[in-house]
Amino acid sequence: MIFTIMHITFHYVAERGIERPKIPVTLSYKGIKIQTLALLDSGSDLTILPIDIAEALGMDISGKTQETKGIGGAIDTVLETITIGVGKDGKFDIIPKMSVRINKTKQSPIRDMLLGRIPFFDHFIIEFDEHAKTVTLRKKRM
Amino acid sequence: MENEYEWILHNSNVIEQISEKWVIVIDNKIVSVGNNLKQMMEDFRKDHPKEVPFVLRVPEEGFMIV
Repeated sequence: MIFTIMHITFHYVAERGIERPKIPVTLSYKGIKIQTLALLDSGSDLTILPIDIAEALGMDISGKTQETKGIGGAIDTVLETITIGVGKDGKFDIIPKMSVRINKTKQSPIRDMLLGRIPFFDHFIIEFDEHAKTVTLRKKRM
Repeated sequence: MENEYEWILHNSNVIEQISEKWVIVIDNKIVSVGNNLKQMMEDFRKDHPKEVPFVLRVPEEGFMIV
């Protein structure tokens, strides 16, 4: 049986006439915090953090590089962990030490944070309503 | 966070004029624009040591497949 203990709906974010399922997140790394928009990307296996944000947070990008493939080609990534907070209207959830892959390829046309299925989608039931241009996150408890 | 997020949702036309650059928003105002987010954050923290900035970058025009 699944109990829903948190339920938040976000409106898509308009970018040059295209509305996208981006949600506000708070990223914390060793005492430094940044808020940003992250794209919910069910087509991505992994959660990707752009190097710009990683450097702004003072993250260590010297770890072992792994090639990660995507539709535009391949990028070099480094595995790290970060605390991520999600929520609004008084409802928040914190995911401590969430694995992210830092995109070290600065020439990449994708400069957004991508919330892929691993591990972010493990924490929520996520519902995309393309017609209403909203995305709803439900925190589940088994 | 909610104030900046709501401001960004309702002021996309303002932010879109800043093409493909990083933007820092605090207290519903754009306080920094540039290409080097790391340097922008270092400068931001000198004047706002305790505040949590909202950073974003408007992508290029056109559809994306990610």
